[in-house]
Amino acid sequence: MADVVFGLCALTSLVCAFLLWRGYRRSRARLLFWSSLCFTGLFLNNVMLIVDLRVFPDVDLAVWRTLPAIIGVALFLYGMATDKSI
Amino acid sequence: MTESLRPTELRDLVARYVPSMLHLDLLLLLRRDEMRSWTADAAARALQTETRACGAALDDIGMMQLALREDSGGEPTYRFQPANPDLAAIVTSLVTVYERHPVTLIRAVYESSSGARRFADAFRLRNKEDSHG
Amino acid sequence: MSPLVAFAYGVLAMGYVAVALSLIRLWRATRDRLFAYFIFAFALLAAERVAAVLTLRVLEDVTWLYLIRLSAFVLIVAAIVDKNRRA
Repeated sequence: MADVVFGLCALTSLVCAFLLWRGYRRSRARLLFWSSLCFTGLFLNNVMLIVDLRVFPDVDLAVWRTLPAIIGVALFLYGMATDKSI
Repeated sequence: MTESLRPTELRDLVARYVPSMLHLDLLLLLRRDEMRSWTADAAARALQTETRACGAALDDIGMMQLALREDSGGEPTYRFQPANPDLAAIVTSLVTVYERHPVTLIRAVYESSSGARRFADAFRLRNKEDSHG
Repeated sequence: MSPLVAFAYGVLAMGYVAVALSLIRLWRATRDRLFAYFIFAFALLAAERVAAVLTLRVLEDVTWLYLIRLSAFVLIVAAIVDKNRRA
């Protein structure tokens, strides 16, 4: 059950990352570039959680799987801080 | 369309036809002399801006059917020529708003092209044009 | 839970809070309901991190914990549905 939930979370993040990337390609709005990377980080975070649960049950990947999310969030905050158009 | 535009109408028109201030400046430039054809380079010099940005914006304006694009071998040139009377009226309305209330129009352009607006619009699954039916 | 993991979870929690707060700016600029959904979603993601640390859960496969995470993403899906339903 947990796998399904994390899979849905991963899928949703991926959809967001894709929509924002598509929006960036169309509009060249920088904020969408950084936002897309943010959701990619959330996607990786959820995928690695599934991997941590299933593939490596004896190894703890806690810090490793938290890193993509932290980086993604930091990139979004950077995008917000430097955006000239908001 | 001689009556003034309501805010929602203005926002819709700006969202569809004026993606940036450069597009507005180019529309005004082209409209000033409807007989004259402009290359991207000439327009860029007139507006004191980059040629590449002008080229892309003129391309957009052509695709919106507000200007006629002519590719006679060399560089493409653009001439103000709305494809139908409705589009001509739309441009006239926008220009009228710009002449009477420039700040209103400029603010509408910046708001519709803001990162926030683009972020929210990115989550529309279909194209903006599709939803207007 | 090692201090490093707790620290990492705390950093991420604060990151989510910062995202939610900066999304308020986007909401105020556009008044678009989409941002309201996202703000609450990120607030829930932050809450999930805090809950994980406070209950010393390194692996988040505990039902009540991952349901918080799920609600956050359900809100995001709701935002997308809402945006496309309004035609």
